[in-house]
Amino acid sequence: MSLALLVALGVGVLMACGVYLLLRARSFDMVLGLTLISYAVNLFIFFMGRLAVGKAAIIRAGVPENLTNYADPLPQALVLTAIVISFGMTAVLLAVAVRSYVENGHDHVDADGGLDVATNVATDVVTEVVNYVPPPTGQTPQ
Amino acid sequence: MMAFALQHLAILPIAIALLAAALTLLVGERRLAQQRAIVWVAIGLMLLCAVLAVYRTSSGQMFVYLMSNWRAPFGIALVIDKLSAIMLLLTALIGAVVMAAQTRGGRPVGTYFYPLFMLQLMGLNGAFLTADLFNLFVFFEVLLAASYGMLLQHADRVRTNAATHYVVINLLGSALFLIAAALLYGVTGTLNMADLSQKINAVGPQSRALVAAAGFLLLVVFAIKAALLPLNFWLTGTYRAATLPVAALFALMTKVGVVAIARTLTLIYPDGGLINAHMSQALLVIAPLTMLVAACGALSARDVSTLIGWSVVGSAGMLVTAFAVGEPKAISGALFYLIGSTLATALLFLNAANLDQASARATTDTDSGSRRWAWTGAFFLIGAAVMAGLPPFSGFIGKATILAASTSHPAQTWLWTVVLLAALLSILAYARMGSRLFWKRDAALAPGSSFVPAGVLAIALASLTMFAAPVQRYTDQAAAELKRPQIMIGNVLGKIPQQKPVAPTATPGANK
Repeated sequence: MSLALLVALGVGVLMACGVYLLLRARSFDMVLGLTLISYAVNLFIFFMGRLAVGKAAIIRAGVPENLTNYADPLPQALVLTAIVISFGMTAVLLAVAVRSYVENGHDHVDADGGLDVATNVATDVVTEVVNYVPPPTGQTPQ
Repeated sequence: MMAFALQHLAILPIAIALLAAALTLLVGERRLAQQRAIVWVAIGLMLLCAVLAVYRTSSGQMFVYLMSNWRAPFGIALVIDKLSAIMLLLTALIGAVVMAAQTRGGRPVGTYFYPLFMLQLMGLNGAFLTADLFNLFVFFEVLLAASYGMLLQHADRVRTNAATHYVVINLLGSALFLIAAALLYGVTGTLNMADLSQKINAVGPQSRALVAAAGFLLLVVFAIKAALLPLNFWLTGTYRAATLPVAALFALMTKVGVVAIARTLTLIYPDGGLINAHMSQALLVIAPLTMLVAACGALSARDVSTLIGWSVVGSAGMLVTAFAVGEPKAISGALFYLIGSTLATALLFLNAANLDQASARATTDTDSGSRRWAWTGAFFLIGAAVMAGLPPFSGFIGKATILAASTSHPAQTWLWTVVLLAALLSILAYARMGSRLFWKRDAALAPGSSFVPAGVLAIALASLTMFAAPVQRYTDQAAAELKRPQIMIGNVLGKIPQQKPVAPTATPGANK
């Protein structure tokens, strides 16, 4: 029971961190977020074959072939496929993210128009307010 | 030969495409003529397979193929029923015209375009054929990976940004898909859709919530693919960024989502099953709203690609509405509308590829110029009529069938209002875009434009109207088949693996 709780919490924390990073909408954070989400999902698939300690998925002679003696091999096969696919897709995403950074000069995922400009402007405004130096009197503020 | 083709019919469309992709890679990047020849041969074979599948399934046959000869719930099963036969034929047809547009128009071809193109067709065929949930995920990834590649060719700033959104939302969708599949496996111990259909109804009360959650997660994933309402905002940007022949191929990708939703509602969570009613209720709100938003989007579109993109969203909404209504007649109408709207979307995209919207009011008023101009306008009109649902084209027949089938549905008022209002708004949108493009001459013919592929699609649409009766008979049968999942379950789970021919000299342990 405690093992199951620990495992469930681990998957949940990974997923939560992934979603948080994904919502930051910067391409590097996004890549990290999707990676964490794919870790969470891979673990989830693996654990869906039930938690088993000290059991292999390879059949030995003389041991009855059921799930009390062996780990379920199918989720292990599924998770292998899922890992390979998510690895490849992360590579694609990294290539796209690097290209987007080079083309746009910044790493915000929404490069032009809409909300993203608003957030960029908001960040700029905050930076300017923080670094604000009052101009000498008689000059128009920038 | 024929016996071999029939025995392996369900794997052939996938295997041919994969083989062609590998061969085009082997031939080498520079030898475009040889690559084209390979792709044409492959598409020809795929068309043959699809025609054979449609012909054979029309007599009530269903092809079940057990991969590696494993029995159904344990191995992966591929199934050709009437729905997948229709989709195979559409894929091969659209693949052929897109290929024709790509080669005839003399467009520059990006690096490894042809291998990616074949992989995309492989993913589409596989997604339509598979009867295994995890295998469906794998084929989704194949077609998505190929589409990322094709989208990023000749990428400029706009395309890269659109591709970023597209890749991210689809990766998230894949993660959700895996969660749903793993949940279903954890509860039922199977991933075969036919087996799932039986086991889901037999789960105990303590696991019902898990199974329901998995079902709705699947719907969310498929709604991302089909671009239903809150999840549709990636579509217009992506389609606008794609080169137009590629966008015509992408028109099939939303249909993958629609077909997957149809499978979910008819096979995995069938009528009268655990949460089918909840799913239908949710979709009957979301899908009509999608149509309305899509019609408003179409009305606000400033360029042709965005307009067509919004119509793709709208047609997905229409199809899902019909599947959610769930009457056999509505499903039949939806399948009819699916054929027409897919062909029309491809026609509109290929036709838009002939227009150069950047150079407005060009002076191409020579005789041949204006004749070609007239053809472009006519193709636009045909496509618009199908998408808006105007008679005499197939869009009208499909929509009318769906509306007639929903007369006894409790949500009839809501459905009729939305469908008719959305149709009116699309007519306005297309009329405005058409008069701007073709009367005000806000565009010119693109150099090297080709009319044959669009013409083929126009002929296909016209014949869909002329031969509406036999097609509708086929879609009626397909709908009846979908409404009775026991047929599919019996065929898949009852399929007996091929017996191995016994080698006379083989004795146990002789090879050791």
